[in-house]
Amino acid sequence: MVATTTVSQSLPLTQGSAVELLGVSKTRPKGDGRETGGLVLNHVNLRIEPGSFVSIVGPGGCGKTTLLRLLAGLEPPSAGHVHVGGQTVRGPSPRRGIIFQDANLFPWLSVLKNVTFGPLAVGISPKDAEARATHWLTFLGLSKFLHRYPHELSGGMQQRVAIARAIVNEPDLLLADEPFGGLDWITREQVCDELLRLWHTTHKTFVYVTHALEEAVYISQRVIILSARPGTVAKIIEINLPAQRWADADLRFSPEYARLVEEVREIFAEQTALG
Amino acid sequence: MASEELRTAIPVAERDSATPEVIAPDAIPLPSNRVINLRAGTSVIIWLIVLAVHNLIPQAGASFKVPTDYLSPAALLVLGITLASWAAAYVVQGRREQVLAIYRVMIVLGVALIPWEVAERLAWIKPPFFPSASKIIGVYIEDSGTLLLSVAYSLRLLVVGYVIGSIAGVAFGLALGWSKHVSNWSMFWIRLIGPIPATAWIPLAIVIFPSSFTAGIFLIAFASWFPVMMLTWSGVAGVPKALLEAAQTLGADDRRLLRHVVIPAALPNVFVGLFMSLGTAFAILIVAEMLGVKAGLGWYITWSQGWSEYHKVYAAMLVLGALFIVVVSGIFKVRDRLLGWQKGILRW
Repeated sequence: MVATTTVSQSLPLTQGSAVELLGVSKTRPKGDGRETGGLVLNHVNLRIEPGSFVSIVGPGGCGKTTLLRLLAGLEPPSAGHVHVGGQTVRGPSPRRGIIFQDANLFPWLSVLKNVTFGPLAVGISPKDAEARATHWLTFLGLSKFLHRYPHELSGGMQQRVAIARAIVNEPDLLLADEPFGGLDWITREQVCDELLRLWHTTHKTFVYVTHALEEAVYISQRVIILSARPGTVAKIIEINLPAQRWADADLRFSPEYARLVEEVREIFAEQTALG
Repeated sequence: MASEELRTAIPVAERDSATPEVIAPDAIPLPSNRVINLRAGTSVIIWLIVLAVHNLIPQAGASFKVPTDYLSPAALLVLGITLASWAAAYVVQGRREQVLAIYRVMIVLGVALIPWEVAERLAWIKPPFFPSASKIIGVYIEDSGTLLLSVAYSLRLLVVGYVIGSIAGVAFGLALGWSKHVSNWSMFWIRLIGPIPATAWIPLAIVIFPSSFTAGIFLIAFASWFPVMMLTWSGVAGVPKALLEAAQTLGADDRRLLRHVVIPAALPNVFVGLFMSLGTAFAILIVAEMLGVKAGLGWYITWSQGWSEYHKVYAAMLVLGALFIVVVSGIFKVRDRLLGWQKGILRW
């Protein structure tokens, strides 16, 4: 991992932000284009330690995505408070990066320009923006594709560009909303490992929403299981697996890993049945 | 298990270069010698027939003076072009598609000319409404000065009106798509006034504007404004919300959002609007020139009609068509520059 060492040298090892949700509820008006109106999140209390990697899982429609959008500031909560890094979230901010389900790249910009978009928006000089973008794209194995357009890339590569774009502003909190749902399993595992390496090098706070339970166990330090709609925190499970998981090819076959997945699965099934 | 090991064994960068994930367009095979020879031969034969019909069939009906023959030189020119491009197809093989395109035009033109010439020689069709091909070609030689001047005047009127209308259209469209207030307040009025045909404004325009030229500009600008505005508006409204959100979480303020996300995302639609409104602008151009403007192709057509010189009407109509092609390809050039990223996704 040559790239890893260069990255850790160039980046200040500042801790990520702490995340706090205090009695957060979210109601949606009926006929919003979504399934149904009504209560989506019900009085969620949650604290995420700075610099930790946390996954959120839960039955379909339990408000995982909504929770993430509240953290990103893309929607306001109907009740309660959302704090990130000690401050109330009042709208989108470059301090909180987000990776969406679809790569959502700007189709009219090249890979490099997609990634320099963020730095340029926060007032970094074009030269520095390009250096930073090139750095992260190289880290993610895209150095040969800087001047390609998104539609020329495969889904996995597009999603890696999206990761680079979200991380290049060096946000204190990185949110990911089922980012690899559209990828095949091999690519998915690869990109997952890259995200994990990224977390390990940056020491930011990562919040990862997924419906793949094994992935949640594999990637995070804690798995938060939400109840069925309206979502609330049902259970938090600590994942005591080694930090540098990508280095251990047999991890996914270890009894400890299997036990943790089984535990999450049981609680998940319980919650689905209750809903 | 095997893939696990493979994955950890190869570094990221090499994995990418090992799998060519970038999509390259398929190469189109060049037209064969047989196709080139067949098309070129057909073109030569057809144009020889045109020459034969024109020169061998005696002119029926009384004619006081024999008009200058422009068709024979033109047919010879076409034959020359056919032979030259036939040779070119073998010298520059990469240009074969273009050579075939020339032949297709030549062949269709020749096939259409043969019955026309027969009918004209045997006096089945009557001048001045249906003049001979020779007479129409003659206009380009005998009256080229007036024709060129008319083109220049028409272009001036068209370009000024169209540019003003398009800029206004884009500006209005952006404002409507961007601000709920603007669209709420103006929706009704735009629905009411926008669809009024520009021609209906003629009586008013003539009174309001100091000259027929400025009135013409207004009419053309009005005609191009509406489609450009509507398409820009729908383009802005159709910008994926996800892209706006992505830009916002990257730190973009409203200004940057508009300039770097909304405008580029709406641009494909804007160009559809520009293309659509150009057709209307051309129509209004001719109407305006027929009604009052004292120069230009529209004026030339009305003027020629007044003198019963219908061959000039036909000649001017063809010029009008050619002018449209030139202006459209200009717009397409700009579009291809700005929307290069779209190639492969959408083609017109």
